[in-house]
Parts: sequence; structure tokens; C-alpha cells
Amino acid sequence: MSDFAIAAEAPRASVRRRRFGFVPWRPALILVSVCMVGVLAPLIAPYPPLQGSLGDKLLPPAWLTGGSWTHVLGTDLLGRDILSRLFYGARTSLGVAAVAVVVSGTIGTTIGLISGYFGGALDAFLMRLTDVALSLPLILVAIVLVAALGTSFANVVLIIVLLLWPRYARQIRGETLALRERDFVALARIANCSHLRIIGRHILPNVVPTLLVLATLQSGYVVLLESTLSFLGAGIPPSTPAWGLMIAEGRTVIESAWWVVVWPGLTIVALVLSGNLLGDWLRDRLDPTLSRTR
Amino acid sequence: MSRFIVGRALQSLLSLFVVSLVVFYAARLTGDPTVLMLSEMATREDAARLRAHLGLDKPITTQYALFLKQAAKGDLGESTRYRRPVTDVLAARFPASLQLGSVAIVISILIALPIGVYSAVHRGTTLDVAGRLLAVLGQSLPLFWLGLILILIFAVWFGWVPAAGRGGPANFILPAVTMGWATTPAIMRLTRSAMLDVLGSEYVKLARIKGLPEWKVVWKHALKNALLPVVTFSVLLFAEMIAGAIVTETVFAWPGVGQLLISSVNTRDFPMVQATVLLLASLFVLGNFGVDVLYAWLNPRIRYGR
Amino acid sequence: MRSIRRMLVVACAACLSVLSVGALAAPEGTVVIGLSSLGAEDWLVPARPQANAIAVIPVFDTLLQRDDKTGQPAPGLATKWEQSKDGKTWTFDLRPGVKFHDGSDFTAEDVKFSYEVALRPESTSDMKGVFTNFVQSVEVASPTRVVFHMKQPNWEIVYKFLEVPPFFPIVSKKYFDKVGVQQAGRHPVGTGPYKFVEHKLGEYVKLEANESWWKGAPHAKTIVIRGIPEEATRVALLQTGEINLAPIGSDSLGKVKSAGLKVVRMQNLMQMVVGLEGQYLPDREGYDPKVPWAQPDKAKALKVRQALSLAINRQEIVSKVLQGMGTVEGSAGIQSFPGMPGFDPTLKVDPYDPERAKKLLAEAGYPDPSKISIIVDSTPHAARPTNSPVAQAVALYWRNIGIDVKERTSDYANLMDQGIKRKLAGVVWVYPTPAFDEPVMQLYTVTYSKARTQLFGEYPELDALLEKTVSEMDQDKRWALQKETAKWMHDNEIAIPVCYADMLWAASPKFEWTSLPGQVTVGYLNNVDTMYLGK
Repeated sequence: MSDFAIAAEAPRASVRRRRFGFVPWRPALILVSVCMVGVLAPLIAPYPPLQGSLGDKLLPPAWLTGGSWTHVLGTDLLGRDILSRLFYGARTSLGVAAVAVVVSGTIGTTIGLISGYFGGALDAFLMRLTDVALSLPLILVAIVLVAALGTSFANVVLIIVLLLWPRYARQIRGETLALRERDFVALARIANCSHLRIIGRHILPNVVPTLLVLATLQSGYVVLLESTLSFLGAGIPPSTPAWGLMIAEGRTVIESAWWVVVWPGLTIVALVLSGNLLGDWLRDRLDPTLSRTR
Repeated sequence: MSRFIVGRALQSLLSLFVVSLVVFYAARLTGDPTVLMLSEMATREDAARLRAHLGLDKPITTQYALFLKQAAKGDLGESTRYRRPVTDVLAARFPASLQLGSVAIVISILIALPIGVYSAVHRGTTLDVAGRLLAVLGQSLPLFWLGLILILIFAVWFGWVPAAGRGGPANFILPAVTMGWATTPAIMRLTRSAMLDVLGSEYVKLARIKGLPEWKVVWKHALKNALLPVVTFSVLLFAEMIAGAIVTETVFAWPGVGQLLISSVNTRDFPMVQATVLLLASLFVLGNFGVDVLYAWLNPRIRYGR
Repeated sequence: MRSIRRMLVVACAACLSVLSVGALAAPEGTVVIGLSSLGAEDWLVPARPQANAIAVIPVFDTLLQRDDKTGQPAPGLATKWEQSKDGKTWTFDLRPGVKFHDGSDFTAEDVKFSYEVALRPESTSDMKGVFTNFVQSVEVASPTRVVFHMKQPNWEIVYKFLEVPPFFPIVSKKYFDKVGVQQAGRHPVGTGPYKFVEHKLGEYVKLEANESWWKGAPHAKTIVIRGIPEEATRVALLQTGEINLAPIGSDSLGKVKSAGLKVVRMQNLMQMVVGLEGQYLPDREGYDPKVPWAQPDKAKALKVRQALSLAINRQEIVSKVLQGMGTVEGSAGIQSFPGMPGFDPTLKVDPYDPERAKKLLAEAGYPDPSKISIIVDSTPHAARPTNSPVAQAVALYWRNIGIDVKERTSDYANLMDQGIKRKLAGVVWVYPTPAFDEPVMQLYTVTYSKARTQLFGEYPELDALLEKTVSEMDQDKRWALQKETAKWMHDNEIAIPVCYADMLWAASPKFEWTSLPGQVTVGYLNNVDTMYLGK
């Protein structure tokens, strides 16, 4: 999602959208369940994720002919149980998403805050840096890193961070610019507060809601990104249980063994949907206090 | 105003310059092109000679200086893989990307705009929620899966359109829809958001007081004002889309710049990688520049930064 | 009266037969081939390696061809070839009356010129190395006779003139002189069964039948070669009929068969060999004595390698991963193919015995297999990607006996680069090695310590064997030496051969390829002249 999209989608102070109190409990439940599944995977998964036997290659789900209840959702190309890999996949995919979002959020927010607060040449420099980062194509970053460091969990996170941080920076900068003009900041300046204090105590707390909204909205996108990177061969190492990788590896049997691709696909859709709905609600909730500039 | 434009233009050029530097070094980090240019039976001397021929035995800073000198003359070098000037290869591949991108964004807007307007007008109803769910679906499916499924359904089962490859108008349909699938939700949400803004404004209130029919208020007056952010946003989206079209180009065998970039990186064709990234970056920087200028013109407060 | 009538009948019959032969000979139809890539789309042969020139293989002829049945050298543009007594001169008698596509005559001048093109400074062709190392000079003895003067006695050169690989096509000196090097590379002209018609960068190459080809007009009138990177898309295009032939992997077989498409099998085209990297000479910078199969204690290292081999269920790999498109039988000799020189049928393939594997590991000092850490790299080979699923299966078997296996994929160029630098210790990958006319031709380049590329292992004993084989002029003695090499590599389990694998193509139901290229062609587009679409 483009930074500009996020900026433009931000609610206007003049419009009230939703009543408070309507908590979207379904998406929240889904997100929490997925997290729980990821955490409890070793306890609830019927099989270890890497265990498989070629003899059980591409078994269909239990209720179809050829399937069996020993592998409820079927098996993949190497005879591994898909249900177990879905559970463990929650760890990997959510883990990648969580780490990537936290790291890029931190970097992006820091840069955005500094850029927006101090303005001037520093702002221009940082924003042009953000421009440069945004204009580097995904594939270049991905393949350079793979060529230099190989495929690994850390690498995928790194690639995603490099792609995401500019979006946070841009958005937070916009917020900071607006906040800087507010009365309470002016008062703090008059009271001779240090810059650090002002940023930390006055601006940052007001920026956090936007951050939360962004993070929630981005979470689904990150999982998708992991899938695209795996398709391009620059993602998670093979055999790792990860939803995006499962879809990418199953693309030659998309028709004949649809279950290899559909189950992880559905979980991704559910995750993105929940993330979006939750993020929308959060944004609506936190709406009235802030105004936005471009 | 002109000072602002000049200032931003200079900054954009600086960005491009930095991009070229980053790409130059990053590309060379990926390894040695001679490994793939020669077969397994080649000798070490062959490799060394080839490297010298390609100018890769000089220190990186010298290579970059040479590159800049030639670039100033308009010569971006010769592709080590295609053995043609990189500009020739780009001239053959870029139009394909542009065409597909244009069709995709137009389809995207044509679908997203009405849904977005409808969503805004009938806010909170089932249609609104349905529209937004559709949007989420667009953002939660991996593009390569979508492309393959579309080929399966519309080309193989129904036989309505060709499956892949560049060609006549029919060949554009599936890849453009795939590409547009990701951008449609974003445009839709933006339209909805912008429309909601405008619909609550004084301007619209006045139009209603004047007694204009509701559909005219919505489609003629409100939309006109909402279009500005939507169009500018689409311009930026366009640039991003072309750069991100790699997956679509791979699945549909579309000879665009995305595919070119992948294969150039994979074969370590440094001049080609540099030129392609510079082209894509220019597109993006240009788009940004244009939007910045437009908004500064509309909102004087931004011009002065402080 | 009767005799006249009889004569008329005979005359009519004769006319009809001539007409029908003529009718058969007229090329018709279009065959569209969907390759995974068009390569570098730079056709300046013979200054380019064969991988780059795939799409223009049908445009050219080579001096010699491979006989379709025996695989031995057969006449191409050369009708006779002879080595002198001292082994230092090869004389080729050339076919008269052959014309290039632009109308100019083919003479010995063109052979000499092609040799010079391969030697150009920016040439990346394999022939460049061959010529530089082995050939002293090329002499035009007469318009139909060319002589290669060698630096020392050499038996390999004849194989290098056979079709693809490596690819020494003959180009026209007059054409190069007329249009210049650059244009000759953009629009190539040769003597082959198809003329180069059109090329759209990144999209396709169009070829048209050369009806006056010296071997007879080809079957199909037009050949279009397209580049389609995604395998699933290739299969879809076959189903819609937009293409007629495409290479596929074994996973697409189910889909292909159920869609009613034809499967073209090039049997046992490559051998899947598990390369246990790290067996470098001890003084190499990348040598790591802690790698279990490359440790200084040779006996223990051998036990580890044998254990790793016993843990692999080869039959299951062929039946489940390759869907039956492969063979385990006879695949015990590395780089050894049945019917080819050096093949030893007495070499036995290791059985599947995971229990014994664990026992051997314990004897080698690893009672707990999880202490052994292996990185299995399943990066697909650029041209023969079947190695990737095989590598993943091998990883699975090793994991099943308790070894700590980590998987990864790298960038193919990077992998090759690190292999060349001997920096891959501890990594295992599966190399899909193709057949060569004589195994030593490949082994000498990929497992010889003084060679640039290093795939299987560096051992002084192996070096000595290879050096001896290469310099042996007598064919029988040379083949015996290659048998000995295969046995040495087998007994010492330097690398682990898994099976032979087929190269698979999917085709339209009516597609015919009457003369499939043989084993040593590595699956390149040979014998395109025998492709056509039936009624």
C-alpha cells in the first residue's frame, strides 16, 4: 500500500464515521486465535512440520476420495501434513510480520518524528532519502540480499523492513508537521522544554494511534509480501512452514491438488481481512482529535 | 512558487543521483557476471580476460566515474547480456510495460470509482460493507495465484481470451485485470474517503439548498472535487505499479521492464540493472515531483516548510 | 499397342510418385515452441556459448552431426574426416553444393572464418577455449577441404564439432563482410534447415523453412520460439493451443495427462548426482576439516558418505518425485550412462538401508546423527530444474534418519561462483549432469583440481586418472581408463548418484517429433527439422 494511500485514507476531522462502542469482535477473535495457534503449535499440531514421507505425497483432504483422517487437510508435495504446517506457519508468517512491522515502525517513526519536528534541510534530506528508498524496486533489494546473504528468516525480515520503513516515515512526518503547530507544543516551547522532551512527551503519544492503525493495516500486506518473495525465490528457505511459501511451492499443482494452495490462501485472506477491519475500526475510533495535512 | 519548483526539482535530481550510486554498488555486490556468461568448461584465463573486457577489474570508484562520464553524454552503456546498448533494450521493453500499466490503471479506476462513490453515498449499508470486503479481497490474494487462476478459468476452461503473451487487445485483459486487482481497492478506498469529505462540505450543502437533484450533486459536483486527490494518487500508483509488475509479467510472459530487471539481476548484467532501476526511479521521482508541485500550488502553507 | 499402354502406365506411376514425394517434401504448418527463456537474444555465433543461442540452433549446421541411432559422429557439413598418423592434423572434406540462406556458397573459407569468429576478443564461446588450447592453425587446402593443425595430438576435437553441445556452427564470411559483425549478430544467416526471419526482443523468434536444405526440406513451414518463464503458464498455453511444445517438470505431468496433452520423453538425459561439497585439497582456503564427509580421517569420511547414500530411497524418488520419468538401474557410475564409453554394468547402485546408514554413522563417530549439520541447497539449475525437487527429497530422507538438515536456496550464479572459489564446504546440492560423448570430457572440467569449476571433489588419485585419460590417444585404452575412473569414484563414494532423470516436454496432441535428439544433446533444440503438427 502506498504511503500516499495511507495518508489520503486518513480520516478527516470534519467527518464522523462510526459510533464508538461497536467493537469488531470477530476480526479481533480471528487475530487472537491465529496468534494463539502459532504459540501453541508444538502442542496442538498432529505432526512435526518437517516430517513427511514421499509415499503420502499429495493426499487429498479427509472427506475426499483418497484422503484419510490421519491427514485432515491433506498433504503437500513432500507428503507433509498441511494442517500441522498451517499451525506452525502461523509462527513463521506472524513472526516475520510482527518483527518486520515493529522494526520498520520504529525506524520509520524515528525518522518521521525528526524530519517533521525539525524541518528545514534535515527534513528535506530525510525525505529525499525516503524517496530513494521508495523508488528502489522490490526485486532489486530482494535479489541483492539473497545474492549476498542467502535465503533466511532474517533476510526476509530485512527485505520487508527496507521496503516498509519509508511508508511509516512519510506518514509520521505528516502527523508531526501538523502537531508541531498545535498550542500545547507552543506552550511547551515557551516553558523551555528540550526538544527531546517535547517529542517524547507531547508528540509521540499523539502519533502512536496512527502507528497502531498503520501496523494493523500493514500486517496482512506483509504476509502477502512474504508470499511474493517466495514466488520470486527470494523468500523464506524451502521446507520452512510458512503460508506464503506453501502457496508459492504449490503453484504447479494449483488445479490437481488445490488443497496445497487453498488452505494457506484462506488463512492469509482471513488474516488480512481481520487486520483491515480492525485497523479501520481503530482509525475511526481515534479519529476526531487529529487533523491531517498531505 | 518558482523557487519551490526549482528547489524540489534539484532535490529530485539529487535523489536520482543517489539512486544511481546505490544501484551501482548494490549491483556489484551481487557477484561476478562472468560466472554465467561462460560455460563450466571455461578456464580462469577466459574469465579474467572477460572481466577486463567488461571493465570490471578496475576499482569501483573508477568504474562509477567512467559511468557518470558516459551517462552525461547520454550513453548508458552496453548490456553485457544482450550485447546491445541498454537504451535499445529499454526502448523495446518499456512500451510494453507502459501499455499494460495504462490499461490496468484505467480498468482499475473505471471499477473503483463507481464503487467508491456508491460506498460513500450509501455509507454504512450492506453495499458499502460488500464493497469494502471486495476491496480487502483484492488486497489479500497473492497476485501470482490470482493470475494463474484467471488463466485457468477464462483462457483454459472458457477459452474467451488468450492465456499469456503480448499481442492484440485480447491479450491485455487478463494481465491488466491481475495488475489492477491490487490497485483497485486502494483507489476505491480513497474515492470513498474523498467523497465523504466533499459530501460534508459547504459547497455540496449549497448545491443541495439550491435544489439540484441528488444524483447531480453526487456525480457532477461532489465527484469533480473528489477527483483531484484520486487522480494524483493514481499517478503515483502508476509508477509503483510498473515497478511492481514483475509477478504479472512472469505469469503472463509479458515482455516488460519488471521481467527485464529480474533477468538482468539474475545474470548480473550490471549496465542493464542500472539503467532499468534508474528508469523506474525516474518515473517514481517524476510522479512525486508533479504531485508535490500540484499540492503546493493548491496549499501555500506547504511551500514554505515551516 | 500394349507396350505403349504399359509405358504410359509406368510413366504415369512415375509422375505420380515424383509428385507425391514432392508433395511430402513441401513444408507446411506452424509449430510454436514455448521455452522458459529466449536466452540472451544475441545471435553472434560462434562467439557465444550454446545456452545463449538456443533459439537459433535450427538456423545453422555444424561440421559433424550425431547419428540418431548410435550417437556417433556422422556427416554434417563435412562428409569425411581423418586424423593423421601423428595425431596432429585433422582433415575435413566438405560437402559440395551447399548454400547459405543469403545465397552465397559454403566453402572451406567459411569454416576458417567461423574459427576466427570464435576467437574474437569478446567471444564467450566454449570453442574459444578449445581452439586456444588445442588448435595451432586452420588451413584452407581447397574450397572443399579444410585442415586443422593441432598443437599436440588430440582426440577430443571431433566431438567438439558435433551439433550441440558445445556448438560450432558455420557462418558465412561473405555475409559478415557484407553486413558487418553487429548486423550478422542481429540477423544470423546459416546453412541450416530454418532461416531466421524475425526477432522481437523479449517475445519471440520466428524461423522459416529452408526448402533447399542439403538434408531435405524440413517438415514444418514456420517455427516460432517464445519465452515463457512460468511453467504453469506454459501448460495453460498448451491447453489453449497457443503453443505446441514446452519443457515441463515432473510435477506438471498429472495436469498434462489429464488435459489430454502429449508427453515427449527424452529418456535418461541427465544423472542426478548429490554433490557433497567441501572435499577440497587441504591447502584450499575454503577447506573445513570439521565437515563430516571431508574430514582428514579418510576412512571415517568415507563411512559418512556411504551412510548418506544408504539413507536415500532412490526408487521412491523416481516413482514419486519424478513420477516414474527416470531410472535407478545402472546409475551407479558418476557421469556414466548406459551404452556410452566407460559404462560399467557391474557397478551396483547402493540399496535403501537407513538402519545400516545409522550404524555407519555411529562407526564414523556420530552415534547421534543430529550432531551432523548439513545445508542442502535446492537452487534449481538454470536449464535443468529437476534437481530442485530431488534435492528436497534427499533432505527429507536425511532428516528421517535424524540428521540436522537445513535447507536453503541461493542464486544460481552465486552458487556456481562459490563452487568455483571452493567455498562451499558443508553444503550439499544435487547437480543434474548431462551425458557427454566421453565422461572424461565433463569430469576433466568439473572435478579436476586444476580446473576452474569444482563440483564433486578434489583428489590427487582422481587427478592422475583424469590426466592419464585425457592424454590417451587410443580409444579402447581411453574407454578402459574411464571405466576405471568410474569404479574409483564409485568405491570412494565421492559424490552420490541418485538416478537418471528424463527431460520432459509437453506437446499438443497432434505434435510429432519424429527424430528425438539423443542423449548427449542435453535437451537442446536439435532435429527441429523433424517437428511437425499432424492432421
